[in-house]
Amino acid sequence: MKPIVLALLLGLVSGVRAAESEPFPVVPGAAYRLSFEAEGGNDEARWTVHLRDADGNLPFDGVLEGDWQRIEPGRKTHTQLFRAPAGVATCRLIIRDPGVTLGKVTLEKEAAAPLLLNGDFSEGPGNYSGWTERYNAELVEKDGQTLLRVNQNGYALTDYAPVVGGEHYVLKSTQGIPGARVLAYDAQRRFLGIVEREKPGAPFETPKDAAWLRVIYATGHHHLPAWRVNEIVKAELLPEDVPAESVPVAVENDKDWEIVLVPGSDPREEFAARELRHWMTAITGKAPALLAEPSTGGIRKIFVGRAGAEGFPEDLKTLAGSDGYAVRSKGGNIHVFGAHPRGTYYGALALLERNSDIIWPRPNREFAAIFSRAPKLDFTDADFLSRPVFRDRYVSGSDDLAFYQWQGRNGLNTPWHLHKGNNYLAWLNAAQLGYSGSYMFWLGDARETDEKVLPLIDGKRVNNVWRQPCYTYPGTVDAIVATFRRLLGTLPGREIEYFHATLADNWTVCGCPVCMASIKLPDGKTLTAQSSDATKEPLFFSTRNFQMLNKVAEALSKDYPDLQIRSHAYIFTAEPPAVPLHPAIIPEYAAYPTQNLRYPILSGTGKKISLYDEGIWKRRFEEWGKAKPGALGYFGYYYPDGLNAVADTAAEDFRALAGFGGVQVHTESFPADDEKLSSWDGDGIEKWVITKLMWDPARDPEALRKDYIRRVYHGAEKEMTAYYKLIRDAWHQAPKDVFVNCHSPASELFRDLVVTPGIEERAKQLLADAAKAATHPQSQALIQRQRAYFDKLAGTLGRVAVPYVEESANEWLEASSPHWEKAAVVEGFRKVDDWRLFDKAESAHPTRVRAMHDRKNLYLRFDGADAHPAGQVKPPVPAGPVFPNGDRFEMRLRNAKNRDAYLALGPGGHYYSFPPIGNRWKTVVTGDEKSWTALVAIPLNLLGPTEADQQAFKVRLGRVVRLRGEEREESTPNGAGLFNEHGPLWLDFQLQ
Amino acid sequence: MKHAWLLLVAAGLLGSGLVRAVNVDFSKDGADALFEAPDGTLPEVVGGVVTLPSRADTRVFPVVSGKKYKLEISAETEGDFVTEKNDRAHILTLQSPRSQVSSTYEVVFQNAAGEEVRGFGGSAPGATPLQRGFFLTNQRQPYVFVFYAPPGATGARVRFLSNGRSTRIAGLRLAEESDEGTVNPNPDFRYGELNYSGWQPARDGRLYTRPDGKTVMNLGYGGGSPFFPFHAETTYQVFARGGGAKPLDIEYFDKDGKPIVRRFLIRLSEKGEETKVTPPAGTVMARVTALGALIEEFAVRVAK
Repeated sequence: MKPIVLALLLGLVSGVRAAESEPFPVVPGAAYRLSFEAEGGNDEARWTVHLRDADGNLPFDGVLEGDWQRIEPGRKTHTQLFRAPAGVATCRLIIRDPGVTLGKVTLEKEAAAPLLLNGDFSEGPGNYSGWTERYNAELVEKDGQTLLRVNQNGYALTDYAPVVGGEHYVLKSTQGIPGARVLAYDAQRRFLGIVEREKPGAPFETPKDAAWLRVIYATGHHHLPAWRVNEIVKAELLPEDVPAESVPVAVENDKDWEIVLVPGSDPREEFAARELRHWMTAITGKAPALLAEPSTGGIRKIFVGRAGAEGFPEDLKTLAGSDGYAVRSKGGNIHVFGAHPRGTYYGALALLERNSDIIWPRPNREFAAIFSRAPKLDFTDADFLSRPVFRDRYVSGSDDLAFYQWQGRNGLNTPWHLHKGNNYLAWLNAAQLGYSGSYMFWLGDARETDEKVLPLIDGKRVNNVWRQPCYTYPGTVDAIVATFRRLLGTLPGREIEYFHATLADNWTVCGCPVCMASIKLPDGKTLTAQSSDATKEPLFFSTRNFQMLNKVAEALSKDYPDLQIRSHAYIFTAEPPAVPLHPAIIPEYAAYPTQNLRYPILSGTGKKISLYDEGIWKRRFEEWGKAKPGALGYFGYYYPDGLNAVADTAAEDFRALAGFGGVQVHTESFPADDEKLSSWDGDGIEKWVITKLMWDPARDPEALRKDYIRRVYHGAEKEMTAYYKLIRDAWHQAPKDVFVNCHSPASELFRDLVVTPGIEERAKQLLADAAKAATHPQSQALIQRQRAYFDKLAGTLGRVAVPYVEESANEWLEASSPHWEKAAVVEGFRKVDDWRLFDKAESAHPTRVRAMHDRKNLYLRFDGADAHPAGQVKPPVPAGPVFPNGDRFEMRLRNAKNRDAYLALGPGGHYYSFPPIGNRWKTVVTGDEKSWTALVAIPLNLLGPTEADQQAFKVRLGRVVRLRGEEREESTPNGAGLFNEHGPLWLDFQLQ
Repeated sequence: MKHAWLLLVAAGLLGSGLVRAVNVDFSKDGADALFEAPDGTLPEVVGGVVTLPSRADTRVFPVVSGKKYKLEISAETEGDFVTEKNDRAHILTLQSPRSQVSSTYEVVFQNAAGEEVRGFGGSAPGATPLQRGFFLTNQRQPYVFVFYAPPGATGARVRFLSNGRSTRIAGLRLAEESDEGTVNPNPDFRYGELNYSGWQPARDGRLYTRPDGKTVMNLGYGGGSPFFPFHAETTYQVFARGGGAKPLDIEYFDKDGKPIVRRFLIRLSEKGEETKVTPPAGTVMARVTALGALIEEFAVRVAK
């Protein structure tokens, strides 16, 4: 196509004389080469490209002003490759520097342009066409070729490439490690997700609603020097049989609102604007325009970002130093901003939350957002400001992007750890960036080069990540400081918000003579340790730990006065040290593991064990609060595995932390949330409430639960309110000795908080009723998952409901009797370890046990598959009361008084009991070429004289195949040995 | 020869530091060579064996505290509650209090004043340093117990409790142990699956003899080794071979049996792992425990 040559037009923009071309017509989606001659100007002279729509509006995506678009002195001609975004009609070149003389300008459509423009960097050095968004990445010349080098913690993204949703493409990319990731976006350029590829170079399918792709490159784990730099040689995106024309999904334009975002805004503010636009579109079905400048029409504007907050200096002052937000109404328009880019994002989400029923309840993609559709959004609640109580709000758990998305949507800023390379997507989703590791990580290479940094344990220096360093060797501090200095420079131009240097998760400490020597304290007293056992000497070793860290902080503070070093106050360092802490140190107090999660820390209700008394966590919390007022962190464990109301405890603890002036709040170990049932299906409500409490612990957890229920369970609010009240009441009313911490098994929680209080049936019924009442499909799906999880928890108790079958008295003797089909079934036996370890693998010889009763006897039927009955091992004596020393079924019965009976029966008709019970039980054995069966009748009064004895009793079931050698196999329903006395391994037979 | 050990004592040929061997063979010796009967009733030797009464004590044999001994009893028991006919007899015995469902023997120590003292490791809180074994075979075989004489012990006797199981003894040997070459008793379970020598499996742990004839210890959750002498300022070489995800931890004790510290010692692997250890100050003994391990060998030696 012939280039369009247009004359220079001089014009005035913003009072500055500028050079501006006449507008060129452009076609959306087409690729163009802009070339122009320009001379003069100062070092800051830049060019910008504006692509406007037919109405003269300037979409945000129509502004091309990359940082590389500089008028280079001495270069006569400048070029830029770009692709016209959707909806644009004209293109204009603008140069704002009045000193620049603009010459010929041409715009040429690039026929057959590749999807990724300048994917081979053939535009040459300095020309980042096609690679507008990048950080710490630059074009370099290597071996006569131009390539893009991404430096440590950097990233580079291609410009948007148009694609068709649901079609196949291939990315051919040459670069270092890690490889490329393909990101999908919808027509509005809102991020959809990472495109999964089987392997690099393999074809992949775009998501159905994808309209654009970008490719992102980053660097990898720092411990491998080769992965700290990634050099991109070439990137090529090729379609595979994609139809030439695709019909984009038509979305009605929103005539009520437009979103305005100033070009050059922080990428996180751009992300905020796109997210706001996406959710508004999802709710109303109408897409507001995203513009770089307000339109001249009467549409109301939502100005997103700090650049649109000039009229609110007092708000900016209030928000300074935080990632809080303000939403203000002015002149019929709305301004959403924060002093920090994250604040803008949180503010956009808060605007949506306050003006709709939207909620982001879980990371699970199926429930990532739940909302009702509405014809329009009035945004009547658009005048508020919120500054978080805690600067740092963390939930550690999964590295999954969905987890970061959920966290960002709910006001958290959990750090991404840069030793894995930068994570652009997590950062967009409000993650802080930083480094974290135990002291062994911070020692760096010194671990290998200077063994004196290592702890002396039982006579030798131990190089192990699970150990503390030698606290007193001067080289330890030097090595840690050196690593800090190196890493402090790895995010040029951006803020590393999180440095975490902490003890290893282990009590073992250095026992060298210097570390063990007495410590002279500032008050003149002496602190002496009797042993190198930190469990017995927490104060001593906590003091040693923080003395070392104080020196690190002191050495760094001269050059980095704003640096803050987080460190766990955990296990022995949970004891506040006997020395003051350097102001740069933020201890993260961990009340672990004997604090009962049912009660706040300051209630002093820890579990008493040999190491800890009941009040230890209260005392330590208070002492930390006094030692570090306004500079205290926290490490929480609000993730009991099962049904709970732990947010009530979190609220109290967070309030106490706020009272101490705490700056950082945290809980760990929310698991990944995917198709598998998990604790999200039990206490997802609590997790969501906790995120809100992390922003403002003064909020009422019950009010938050009510809000959650309203937003999540459309149509089933009444049932779910009653359900959660049952759980919450049980949580608070259980006896004081019901102890819950993060390690409590789900089965114990279910037993103590659901079964024992007698709420199991009612809770189950409420969930069933809720499933029927729910009107929203996502609500229904969520409730079904909760029901399945409830049943799963119930199943962990090993309960077997043994049915009453009246006919069993006469029918039990017949293996073929259909009444056996009414019996309870236990199957799925697993191998038991002997001289071999099986890791509970499935048994090679399936066994099934059935149980029923007639109020006089318990009837059991054992069926054991056996492909080679001829190989069965039996005693060489006739059938009778002889131990079946070989193939057999076994069981143990234990009554309420813990009286035990062991019973065994074999295929040869041999039977045995220990202690002997004589003829009080009856057995019948049959077999065929595939299996053998034993039928047993056990009088219930064998279990005890009273009805209570006979209603519920414990049972173990087992099977032995053969006797000796490799073919011997023992199996039980759970893979634990028949004689493993651990309580939860017993089945709980409950006669119905 | 009858009363061989008495003659040796009388001849002054056994002083402290010399091996004091006991070797009773009922094909040649009388019951009084082994047993003590305050009421004068000794069991009878018939056909080269003695059938144990419900309870019988041997004489007191001199021992030196801190020395390692090997007791070997040639015995058999009657009835069906034996491993040849009931492969659950083993675990049922282990899990019964004091192994009382089987015929048992126990080494009982006394000090110079004739007072009973607890076995090696007995001073550790909560420790049950059993020097107890059981007889569980119809076939006569050597039952072996390797043990340390505890501090303060000058004599030891063997106490038999037949617990209603007819048991016959053919002979007994007691001598200082000199073949294992290790500080810890029974390092590789060479005495077979019925001889624990103080190893204490937990839950359903027990010894197993594999088809290839090697005996291994499935320690169970929280099981442990016997206590063994372990001294501060001495460096030891530790070797461990076996399997399972959990490591062996070591706990050090002082002279009063007070725990000093417990920590990670070594992981198990099929080919075996080695490490050196110098116990902390004050240590006089130690034991290892694990939360589930399959041990083929655990050997502690003084490092050269």
